[in-house]
Amino acid sequence: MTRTFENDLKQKLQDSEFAKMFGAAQAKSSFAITLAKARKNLGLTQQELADIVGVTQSYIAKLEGGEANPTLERIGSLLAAIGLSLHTDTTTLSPYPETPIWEIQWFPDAWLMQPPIEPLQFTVDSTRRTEALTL
Amino acid sequence: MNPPLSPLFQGRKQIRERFRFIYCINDFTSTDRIQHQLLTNITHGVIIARMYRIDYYTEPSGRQPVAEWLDYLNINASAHMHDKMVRLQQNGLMLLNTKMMRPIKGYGSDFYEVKFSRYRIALYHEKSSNTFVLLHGFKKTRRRESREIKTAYSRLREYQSRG
Repeated sequence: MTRTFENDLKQKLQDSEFAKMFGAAQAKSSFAITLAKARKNLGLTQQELADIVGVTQSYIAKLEGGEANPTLERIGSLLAAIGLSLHTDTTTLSPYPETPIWEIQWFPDAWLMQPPIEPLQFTVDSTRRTEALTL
Repeated sequence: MNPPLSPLFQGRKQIRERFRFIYCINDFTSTDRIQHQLLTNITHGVIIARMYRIDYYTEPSGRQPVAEWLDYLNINASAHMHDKMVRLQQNGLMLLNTKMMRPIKGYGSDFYEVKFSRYRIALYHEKSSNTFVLLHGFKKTRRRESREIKTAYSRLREYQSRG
């Protein structure tokens, strides 16, 4: 019986101790990716960012590796030094929930539109050589 | 190009185009229509789906060394490693910009390692199927590191020789 990563993780998340640790890891890596993206967008190296915010380069490296554990104050002041602020939000702990979460971004004129349309279906009847298009 | 028509005068095709905005945040497996494809269609600045697969390497005997290693790890390191794999699945090679992941040099391309503390997982990025194959998990020590990477590389050669 071959195992898959996703099933393993789903099963391990049943354990409350593992879930706690996983939540902690997610918070750290979430911030790590956010910081790396912000740094890339500003076109800075780790050393330059470290000089701006007044920490060492190795601390930035630890933050971007998801291994440091900064306080909320520290996160706030660190981001403030590059003109950003922290925006937090919650989502499900499991990355593979039973019911997927769909995010719909509406347009200002979305009320004008019809509800989502089923995908196009082509029915090919080879005996009659006609193609019916159902929409 | 002509300016876009008012939605009232648009055909179904244009409306369908606009509804491509609907996307799934956090489930990469249950959406059949877009499964196993790397979609980087950007409409109005929103990336619809970026998906990668995470697979364990399975030996010809059926053993899955990384799965066993993740069971055997202590709970903290295991949770962190699982988290990194999820981030890898969601962000793919973007993770190279962070310190979580880096290429292993000297063994050709598409051979990476993801790290937490002193724990490492060596993996291979199969471009054709956009899959990350977890080859080998180990704890890095100065003496054993090259040996561990050779183990991972031999598994990679075996995996590639399957054709």
